[in-house]
Amino acid sequence: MITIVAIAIGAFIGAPLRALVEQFASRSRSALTTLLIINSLGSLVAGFSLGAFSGDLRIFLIVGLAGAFTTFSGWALALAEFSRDLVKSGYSRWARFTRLGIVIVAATGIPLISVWLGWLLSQVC
Amino acid sequence: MHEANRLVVIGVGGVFGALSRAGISELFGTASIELGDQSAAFPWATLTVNVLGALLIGVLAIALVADRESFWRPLLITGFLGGFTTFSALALEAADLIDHDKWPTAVLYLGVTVGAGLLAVQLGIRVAQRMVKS
Repeated sequence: MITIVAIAIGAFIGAPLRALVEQFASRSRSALTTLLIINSLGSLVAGFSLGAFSGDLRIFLIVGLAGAFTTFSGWALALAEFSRDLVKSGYSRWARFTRLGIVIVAATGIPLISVWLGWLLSQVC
Repeated sequence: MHEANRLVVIGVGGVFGALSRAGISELFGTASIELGDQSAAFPWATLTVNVLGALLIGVLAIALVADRESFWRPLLITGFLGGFTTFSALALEAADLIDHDKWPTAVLYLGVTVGAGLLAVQLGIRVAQRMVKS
């Protein structure tokens, strides 16, 4: 029961926090860049929490807060829009393929590295 | 909608989304690393959640496209689907697989999630466009 409450409270903070960061950051950045920042920050917190905490506090931070702060569905939608714009852009097939590939690798790889950084940080602290 | 109200609506959607994600995780039995399991089993639960959420966001992005002012977009898209799907668990699980020297599984997991997620979004968009037309 406490676990469910921990997840709920974390998500009640995490999801609106994402909306605020989106609103603030999207003024000067693309949706994909904004989501990359959000997903990397959340992954950093998740990696740190995995190394630093246990029990319901960890579930609050990882499942609730970071879980609801980061998003995959919005990221996939932004990526679909990005690839649709690429088709309209007039680049050659190879250039479009390369661009999409670089964006996908960066948008997946940077949060992955953030998890490690967070975990390393938890071992130093 | 007033900004404070919008944030509360997003929060409520996020709570239902995150609890549904945790519920699916329980349902799969392979308690994910999110819930403290570090056996580095293939993360089926998160894969299912993320691909399902990608399909639904494609549908809702079209279904609610004209609905800029109501509470449905913040509740369902930003709140529920945003809280339901997750990137931190994906990154955490991939890192855990690599930590267990399961490099190919980690690459497969990331590739399948991204590939299936993109296809699911497109499928959701197509289905919703067809429904809107008819």
